Amino acid sequence: MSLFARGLDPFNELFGLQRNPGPPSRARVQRREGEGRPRAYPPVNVFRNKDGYLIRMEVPGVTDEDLSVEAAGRTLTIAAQRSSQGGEGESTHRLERRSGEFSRAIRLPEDADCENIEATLKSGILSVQIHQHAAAKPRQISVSVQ
Amino acid sequence: MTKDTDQTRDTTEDTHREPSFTPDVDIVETDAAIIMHVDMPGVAEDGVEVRLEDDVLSLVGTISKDDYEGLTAVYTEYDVGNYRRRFSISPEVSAEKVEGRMSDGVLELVLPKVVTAQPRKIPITAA
Repeated sequence: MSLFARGLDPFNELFGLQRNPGPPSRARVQRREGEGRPRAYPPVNVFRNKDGYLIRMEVPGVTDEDLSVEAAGRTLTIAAQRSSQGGEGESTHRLERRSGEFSRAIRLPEDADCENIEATLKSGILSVQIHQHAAAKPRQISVSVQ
Repeated sequence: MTKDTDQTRDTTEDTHREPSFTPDVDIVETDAAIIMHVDMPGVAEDGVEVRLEDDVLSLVGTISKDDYEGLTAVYTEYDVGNYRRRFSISPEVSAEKVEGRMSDGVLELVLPKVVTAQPRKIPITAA
């Protein structure tokens, strides 16, 4: 509802995503390179489900200790860090995986209940469930016959 | 040492019903082994298949589709699908000793080298 009503370009402004430069693989935004869009890392997908919104972020190799999810007002900030491969006595053939510190800031829609957010980490994917305010959920109104 | 053969990916006709993606990989080499880390987010411990045949290492990671039940995408920056990648491995790897471990969506593979391929220090004795 509030998501699409504003008529914004979903790739740039839908969730007010703050972007970090750098190429994620398999990213949809990467294919739009010709359009000069900045690329964000780690990549994020946003879904709707019965409870509200589900944000998924690919963070392979990041443990829960190296991950932080913070909600301040209507801004959700996800920060993660991953150490790099390659140490002493090792020669490097290929380093395609990104390492270092990453963060994304996501502005939550108006009907999101910012007090009611759950985050789970499974097989390198962080899922953040944001519940929708009860008032914003569709309700069935019974019709009484007189 | 380990050469990527997935250039063939562009020219080989794909008959898989679903799209599959090329995972990012780090490859380092020590005196004793070649160590690979492969990013396969969404792949569980039992969802990965590693095969080494005729010096070709094939990696297949299968995601769990149940995780996407009841979801409607509203904004997407990445595509979801299985992972496939192949590498040609030098014969100095001892195939039967390859070990793999999957954790947090990352496959770690240790490919030990056969002993003759490891550098040896040759002692020099003074005459």
